[in-house]
Amino acid sequence: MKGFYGTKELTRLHLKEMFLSPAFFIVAAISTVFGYLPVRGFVNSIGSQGFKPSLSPMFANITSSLESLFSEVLVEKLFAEGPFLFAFYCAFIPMLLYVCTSSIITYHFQHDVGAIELVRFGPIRSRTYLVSLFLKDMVLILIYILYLTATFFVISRLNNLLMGPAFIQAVFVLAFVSILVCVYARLAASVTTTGIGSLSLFLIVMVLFAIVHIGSYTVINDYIRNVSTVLSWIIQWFSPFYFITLIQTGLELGAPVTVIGGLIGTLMVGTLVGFVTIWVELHKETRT
Amino acid sequence: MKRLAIYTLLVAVCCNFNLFGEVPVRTEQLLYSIAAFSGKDYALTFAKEDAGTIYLYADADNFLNIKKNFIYYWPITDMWIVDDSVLDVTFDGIVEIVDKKGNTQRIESVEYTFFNMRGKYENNWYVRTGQEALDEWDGYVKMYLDYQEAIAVYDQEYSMYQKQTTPLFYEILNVEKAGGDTEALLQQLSTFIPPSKPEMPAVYTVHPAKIQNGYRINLPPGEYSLRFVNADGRVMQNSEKTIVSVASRRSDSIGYEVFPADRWTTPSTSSSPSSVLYVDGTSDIYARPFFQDEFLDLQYQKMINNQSSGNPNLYRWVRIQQVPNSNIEVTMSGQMQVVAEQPFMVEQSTSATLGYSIVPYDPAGAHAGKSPSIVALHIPIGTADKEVTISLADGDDSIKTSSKRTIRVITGIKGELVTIFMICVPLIITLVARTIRKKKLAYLLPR
Repeated sequence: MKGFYGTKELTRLHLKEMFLSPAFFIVAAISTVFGYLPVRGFVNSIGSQGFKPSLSPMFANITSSLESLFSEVLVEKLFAEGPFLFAFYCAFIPMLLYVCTSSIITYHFQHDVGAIELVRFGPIRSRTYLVSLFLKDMVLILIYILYLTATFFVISRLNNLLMGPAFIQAVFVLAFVSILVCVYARLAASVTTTGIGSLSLFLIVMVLFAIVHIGSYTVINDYIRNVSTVLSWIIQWFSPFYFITLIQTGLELGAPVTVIGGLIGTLMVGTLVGFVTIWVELHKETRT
Repeated sequence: MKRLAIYTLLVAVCCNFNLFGEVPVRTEQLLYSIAAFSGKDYALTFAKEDAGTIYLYADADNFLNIKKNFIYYWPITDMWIVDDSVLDVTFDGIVEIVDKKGNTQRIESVEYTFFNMRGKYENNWYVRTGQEALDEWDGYVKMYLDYQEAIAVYDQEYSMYQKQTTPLFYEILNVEKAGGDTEALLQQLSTFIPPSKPEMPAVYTVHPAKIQNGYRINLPPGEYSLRFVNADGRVMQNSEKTIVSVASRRSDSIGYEVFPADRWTTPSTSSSPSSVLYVDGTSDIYARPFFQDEFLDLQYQKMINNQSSGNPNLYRWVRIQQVPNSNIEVTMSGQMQVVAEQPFMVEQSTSATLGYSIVPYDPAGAHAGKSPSIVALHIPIGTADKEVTISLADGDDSIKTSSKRTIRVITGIKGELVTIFMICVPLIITLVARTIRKKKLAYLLPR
């Protein structure tokens, strides 16, 4: 049982494990609540003069924080079509983190009980196991995106809100760039020997990417921004946040070269990190 | 004794912070004083010695001047402020601008002025240089002096008029008090015509600035090196800076300034071409379409104020001017109608309640002799209208496309039960799945 068939069977098994546990469903419901709250706040902030965040205390705090950190331009763009773009980020990021961290924990649990060694000495190779975990992550993310989009669609119809092109673009871009985040989760799981170590490494890498990327957008301090811009220039080529921005900018400006560049870049970096992960796994296999 | 001395010292230090106000420390600096065109007007700012870059609008006249002044930090506004009351030194020399290819432009100082004139829609800034600047300034001074002279003549004529009419007025009062006939006196009074007060010149909204000397900078987009060369041919210390000549990323897009009838002083702006305007439908709305250009936030903010900060990665739309004589196509409930721009008057409520109403401008009737308060497009809207689409009726395809906007009427949060059900769907699925599995396992496993 090698190659495609093995990957398919293992992915099916991982998915079955995931669906039998209530955790994924609970996190899905909680994440959707995180997404619904901004929509509710947005509707409550509508007056005769349009969207006024000051009408809703929650929105007043969110928008003033975003404005002071990034600039009012970001807030204007974020809510230009309605609340769903911001709501999508609020709901999707916790779910993405959950899927990646649960996958890391599964890997280490199965490694510790000897399940991986068992299948490795049997019909399955390490890389098949890694690919199946990655595919499981992607399937879960796609299922959640479908569910979230359906929920937002119902809310939009009920409240006469628009799910505009920026939202639809964001759905595709985030789904695509999730490939890179999931690959980093696989790498973090492979390069360390403990679950805690892998989780810490994964979160540190993601937080580092986020800080450097967000730092280059801040208007708080010229020094922080300049340092972040230099750091960002160096590490942006590996950052999922950079590719999200690149593809979205390309879509906004109608620049297909930028969009294709971003998509190819994501795939290339994902493939590179994936190969490194498989190499590390094979190296561990040899040592074992 | 030692402890007492320490306490005394501590109290003295604490008091020092509270008892004496902070006096701003002034430092002498070589500054570039900048009159920067911002696409719609002229912004006055300055670049300190430690400001490495000056941002200027590309392909437009901007003016620099190099000066030595005192500056001080003003913590209330978090800004540095120039104090030219004590030290205000200008220098003779030329400005050298070097592009990336090494081509050098040498620019000499020129006399200039700028002023603001009211247009049909908004104020318009103009710049004059050289002899034109002097002529403009002279024209303004002459106009001002003529007005002063006319006022002096008016005052004289009015006091003459009062001298003639006051005794007659008292005489009429006395005759009236005595019960006599005042007809003849009143007729005599009506023969005196009061002088008319001269109108203040309304040519300028902001009068021309006093003639200044500056270096006229008009550069294509790009990055340049700037330095000031003294009359003796040496580059002045601390005068070397970078000029970033800023061009818009996208231009001639259409934005809207929208305000409801009940809050015309707090307009909303719809800049992004795909943006949606959500309103609660309790009031009609008025829209003013305007041309807008898109600039990098940091560059634009620095252009109008060199000390401000902005976002280096985000672009902002900047309003340039109102679209003249605009008509919009309003599509409501599947029916399209063209709404033309109209002048309106904002009338304060005369009753005890605060407020105002926006009424059509009537130049021949109630509003004779007055200018309209606003020129805008009236879009009637109500809570029954779910979606209204607007776009400019005139202009080329790109302008029409960028002018499309949707107005959606939102009347509070709706369907919360359905939403809660949708949120609970994952929980229901896992509950059903677990129940089925539990039953299945109970059936399979021996009791």
